[in-house]
Amino acid sequence: MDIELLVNTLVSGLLLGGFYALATVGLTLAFGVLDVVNIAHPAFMVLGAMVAMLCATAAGLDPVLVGVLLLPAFFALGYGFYGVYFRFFEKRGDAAIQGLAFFFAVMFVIEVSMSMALGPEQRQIETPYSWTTWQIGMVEVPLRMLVPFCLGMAVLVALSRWLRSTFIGRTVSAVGQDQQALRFVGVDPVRVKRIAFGIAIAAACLAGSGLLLVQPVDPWSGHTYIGRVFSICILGGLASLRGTWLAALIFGVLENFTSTYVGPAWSLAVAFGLLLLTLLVRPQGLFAR
Amino acid sequence: MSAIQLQVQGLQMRFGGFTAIKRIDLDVRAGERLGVIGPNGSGKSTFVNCIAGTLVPTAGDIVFEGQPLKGVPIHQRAWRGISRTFQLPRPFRSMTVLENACMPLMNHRGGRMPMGEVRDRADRALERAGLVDKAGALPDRLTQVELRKLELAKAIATDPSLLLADEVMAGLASAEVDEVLDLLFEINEAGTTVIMIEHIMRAVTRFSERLMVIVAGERIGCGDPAQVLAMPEVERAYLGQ
Amino acid sequence: MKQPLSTPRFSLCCLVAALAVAVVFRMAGSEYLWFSAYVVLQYILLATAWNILGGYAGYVNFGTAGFFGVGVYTSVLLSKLGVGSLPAMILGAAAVAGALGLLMGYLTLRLRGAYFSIATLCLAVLLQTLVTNWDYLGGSRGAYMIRPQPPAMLASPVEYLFVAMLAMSALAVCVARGIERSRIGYAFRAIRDDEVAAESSGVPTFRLKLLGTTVSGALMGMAGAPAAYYSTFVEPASAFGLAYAVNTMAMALIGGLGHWLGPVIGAVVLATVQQVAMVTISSDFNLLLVGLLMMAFLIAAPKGILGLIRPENRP
Repeated sequence: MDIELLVNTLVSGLLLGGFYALATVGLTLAFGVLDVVNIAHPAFMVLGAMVAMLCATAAGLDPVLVGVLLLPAFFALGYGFYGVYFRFFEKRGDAAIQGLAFFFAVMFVIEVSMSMALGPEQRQIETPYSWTTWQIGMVEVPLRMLVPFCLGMAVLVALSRWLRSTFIGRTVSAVGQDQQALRFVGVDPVRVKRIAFGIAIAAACLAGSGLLLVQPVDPWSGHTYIGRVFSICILGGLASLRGTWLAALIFGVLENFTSTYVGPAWSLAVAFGLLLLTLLVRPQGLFAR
Repeated sequence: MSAIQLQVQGLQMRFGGFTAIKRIDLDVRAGERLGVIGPNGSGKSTFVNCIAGTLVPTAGDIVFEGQPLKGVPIHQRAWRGISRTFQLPRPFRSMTVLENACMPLMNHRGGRMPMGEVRDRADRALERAGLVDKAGALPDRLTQVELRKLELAKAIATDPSLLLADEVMAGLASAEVDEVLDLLFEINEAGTTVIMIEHIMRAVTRFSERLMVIVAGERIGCGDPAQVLAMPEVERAYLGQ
Repeated sequence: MKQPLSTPRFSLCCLVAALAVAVVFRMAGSEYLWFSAYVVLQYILLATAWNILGGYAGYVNFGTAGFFGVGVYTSVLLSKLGVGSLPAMILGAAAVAGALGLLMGYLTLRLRGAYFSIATLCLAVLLQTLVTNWDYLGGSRGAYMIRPQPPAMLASPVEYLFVAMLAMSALAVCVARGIERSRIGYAFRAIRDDEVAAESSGVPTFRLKLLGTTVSGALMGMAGAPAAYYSTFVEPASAFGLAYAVNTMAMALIGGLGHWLGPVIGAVVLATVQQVAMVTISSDFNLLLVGLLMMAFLIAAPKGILGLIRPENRP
């Protein structure tokens, strides 16, 4: 039994999981709190990746830095987007089919537009640390994985703090449960939801810049992430950030182990298989209270 | 004295850390008019949902006409003769009033009823509910009281043995309350046991042969309406709110 | 008031119409026409199948590509096993895809509609991965198929495929209309309107939804069966292409949900537009157009073209 391989698979699985948490956190907000089945979330992430890549290459900056700089733009995108969605779908009542179909169409439009604008090839970006790997004993820690992991952790901690401590944050937490109460406090629930969705899309943007470090990205890369992020979101109990973090780590480790010991082609099957299993056995997730 | 139709034994319903029903035991006789009252959030609707099958109790047994209901899906409970109305009326919005009344009959006990009989019984249900002149209308054209009557028409179309009426009169004007009450009396006279969950005291006291009070998920009194309402615990539960 | 046609009469009319179309096309004798019309018919079949579950019962299937791809690869498998007859492939595809629909329904239909939809998408990706790794079927390298010789009356393999697809789409339309007008159709509408109320009214929702996924899945699989012969070269990326899912859904939505005519209109309109666009503009733009049209209709005309023509609420 190759201990070194085992440990390294575990470590890289955890690092991957941290990135997956970053990719999922926006959905936790959108789906978990706002009950919007944003199937286009990974597409927004890829959009973020492509835009970050273009800007980073043009300006010679680090992609993560560019991702942070792009946050306001993507927040605005999400804020505006939810306004449209709410106006035409949420308000109408029998929103279910149309809402789902809408996000499906949005996903497609984003992906095809990227394909037309940038071509279907895979892109990746090189940073000074892309090929650096820290060696800690027998453990190898590639920086290109460590950075997204840290980014993920930072975002989840910050968001968790924000949701609990600030007024706006608490309204966001509450808007999923009791809109009436918010109105009594003089807060417009729709505006709060727009803010929440804006944050969700901004998170997707940041995840996009992380994605650039983790793997080569083409306009259709989002598809493999649909199952992943929804699995993690549901496994984590839908609206819980802590649940998302833990579920993402478990997920990353499982996928990585499958990839290393069974074969990379099957790691995707793990993702989707795990989702189906979750839906079957415990749809409220592993960590629901 | 008619036979016991419904037996609820040791019913308990917990949602994670929250206990909606701590323990309820109840026997209901066939043809009885039972009223259920209690403060908001005491567990009345939960109680109805457990009998109807929308919720699966965490403990306890429910036996209907000698058959346990554990594991029996909602639609089969309807086939066995348990009908319910919803607090907020839930008509099928894309169908006319008549089609709404036909729905329970079309699928009753596997859906083998001939369409002629379906239509006849649906017409009869609408007649009883006083909705005949609205038969071709869509639900969005109905008034509140008409929507409640539609809920009842749907519930009685299959001539159920037991009707669970969940706050059917909530929010109605006084005259409308009487309209619905008369309908409920008529339903009971035709042979259906009625369990009425209600807040409107005069309706409940007028209607019920027996009255059960649920407070904080427990039954704190059951019997003659006048006596139950005079119990100090009941007064405390309502005034102490 | 005009009485609508009974199902047997309508089926007869459908059959006659299909025969008429076949004869007209035969007289034109153009390979290109058969080839192009095949695509339109295929989408009529797919959109009609999708509508049975999506439009009637309100359960959105994002995984059309999965069922279609399964149909394609069932044909490939049968071909590798020595069975070359098209009817056998169609039956095989229907059986496998139907079983898949049943299985998937069993696994996911007890959950909220949104979860079902996500699960369908995941299933499509899973299936694609499975097939890509299955070397016997060609894997990612793909598989070649030689078109069969047509039976005596028909002029060429392409006409054979065209006629087969014509027959299947006519069948699908008859099945859809039959369901729509039956008790099952009413029950589906109740499920779509308010599933909890439907269940409380005695509708066996789970059982009926399973019927929906099975029938819908089987029809989609049937649509994939001749595709292997049509393209002569199949590989997983295109057989399971997302374009199928988007096109199918767009056509049903644009044509009008909840009525058998909707997907037909949507398929004819959209597929024709695409055939024209593909010749004049790029295929990517084609897809973009579909996506944008779908969004436009969802926002501005949620009841589709049918809803614009007949403003009243019901068929």
